Amino acid sequence: MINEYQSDVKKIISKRNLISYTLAGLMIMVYFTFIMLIAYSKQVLAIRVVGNLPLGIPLGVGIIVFSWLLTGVYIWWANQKYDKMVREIKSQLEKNNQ
Amino acid sequence: MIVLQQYTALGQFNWVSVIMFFLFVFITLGITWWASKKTKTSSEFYAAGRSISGFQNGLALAGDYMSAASFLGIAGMVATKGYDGLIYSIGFLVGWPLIMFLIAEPLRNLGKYTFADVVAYRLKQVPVRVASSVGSLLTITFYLIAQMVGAGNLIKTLFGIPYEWAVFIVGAVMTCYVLFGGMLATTWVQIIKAVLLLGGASVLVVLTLSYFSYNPIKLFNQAGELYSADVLLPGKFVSNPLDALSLGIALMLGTAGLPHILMRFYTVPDACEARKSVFVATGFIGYFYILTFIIGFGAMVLVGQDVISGKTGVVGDKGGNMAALLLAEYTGGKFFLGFIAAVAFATILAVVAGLTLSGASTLSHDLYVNVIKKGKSDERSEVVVAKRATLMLSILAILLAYIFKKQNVAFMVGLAFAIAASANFPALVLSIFWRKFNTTSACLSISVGALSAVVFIFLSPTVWVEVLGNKAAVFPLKNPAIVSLSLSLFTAVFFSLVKKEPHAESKFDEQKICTYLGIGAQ
Repeated sequence: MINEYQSDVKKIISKRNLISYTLAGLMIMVYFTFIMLIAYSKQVLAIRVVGNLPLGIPLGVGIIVFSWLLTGVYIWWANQKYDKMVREIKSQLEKNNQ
Repeated sequence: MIVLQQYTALGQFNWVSVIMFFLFVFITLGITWWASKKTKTSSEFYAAGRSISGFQNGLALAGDYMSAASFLGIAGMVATKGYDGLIYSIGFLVGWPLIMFLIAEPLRNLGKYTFADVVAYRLKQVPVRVASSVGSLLTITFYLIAQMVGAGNLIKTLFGIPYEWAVFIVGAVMTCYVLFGGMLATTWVQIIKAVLLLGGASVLVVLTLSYFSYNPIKLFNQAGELYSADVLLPGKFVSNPLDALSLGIALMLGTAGLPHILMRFYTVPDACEARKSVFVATGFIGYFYILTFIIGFGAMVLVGQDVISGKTGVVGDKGGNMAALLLAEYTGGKFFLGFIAAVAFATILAVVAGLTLSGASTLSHDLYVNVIKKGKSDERSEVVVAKRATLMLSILAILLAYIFKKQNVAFMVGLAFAIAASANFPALVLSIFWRKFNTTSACLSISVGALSAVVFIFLSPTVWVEVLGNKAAVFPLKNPAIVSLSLSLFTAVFFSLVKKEPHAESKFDEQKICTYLGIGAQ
């Protein structure tokens, strides 16, 4: 039953994987860049941004906010696009089964 | 100039916290009584009948994740060590997006009650379930010991009750939640606790900032002036680059491999609600960890490092665990101290309840039903076994807390995260995304990951030097995750390529349909 729509299914699977892997990769990159800054170049984190406030503090808050926004991007895409594609495929499958 | 606090009501009988605490226990036991009538089947016991909404589960996830260790421990670490503590605040959050992108929805679609359901989906049930249970139970046990010992010491300091009594009270109340109310009661305990903790921390931050004309930058600058500019920068804590990387891996990937967190995704009706719950949880947890920046530095400036670390006065300790509470007293007086102390107590109760339920589900669903009974067990006996497992785990938790009373157990949280990152996480992700991943590679990679995490942490400076008192560590890193994860991944890849399991490979297409379309999901 699935064979006929296999190409459609394959298409949305690869789309979903592309989004998931890209966002996960982005998150891992941002976090480990931060970790590498701590490990190798603390002087970057010591750059003063406002008054005596070093970059490290706003950057830390920034990473937390960024993480949350990234989950927001994913949920927006999944709710708007992905669920719709899944619903379409499912209804086609059901029609075929009847 | 700020006058450092000399007097504290900490450790004295505090009416506010006793009343608050009894109110919390009274209300949550009421909820447990209500939940017990709706908890008959195994799906109701383990997964609240999948009746929790995405928003509610998001709050409950936040409640499950924000332990007293992260509230009091991180605040104390920031107050005594400065920026180094913030590395934990950030690290504890960044695993959540990974849960969102890679795990939450496939987990919800493929499994029933535990993450082993997913790993075992197309592999040989018995060996995979046994291996996953080992990874799961080790993570839960170490986490539970750390929480229980922390609870006993904390409550002893807060209320002046003996350690043994404190542990017993926590164990008894937590057992009531899980045993009678199952996942439904546990979920509502988490939600109430999350709201209390987020509310309490928010008030604490507003009160703290009122001393700095509501300008956080002024607070940070004052911390830099009062101590040294170094407190606003990463310090000695992660001097070795490999150590920094290893800690980063453990925090990020470990979050995505904690069994009691993963289990919560089965309480929502479908994958859409599962993703919503991660978004909500990440928001609340992120907000909370941003608050720890202010709470930690606020305590450093207003209460003072000497008082927090116990150099002057009587309440402080080396880890600075009382920092948030001392700050609460400084900014809001005895009344607010009582409130925050009660919130900390509620936090411990909620977290140990979640851990116990998750351990019980592993024992009954993975080991009893799928290994001993080979998947042929009726509803009734599964629930009976789950309840027996709950009782057994609760008694074990109390006994372990007594055994480890005088030990330094702070490393156990790190160990739990290292095992979760190097045993549970790779197996889970590879089983979802890699066709060639097979029974042999799953079992061996979980075993290698868990075993190497335990062995290396034992030989590391954290245990070999700080706990056992040897001079030099055999293994140089404080956190073993970078090595144990590499070993586990290497094992997984090697045996997936060398050994063929045609049955598992052919079932991968069917699994994919379920993963992505939710067809066949429970």
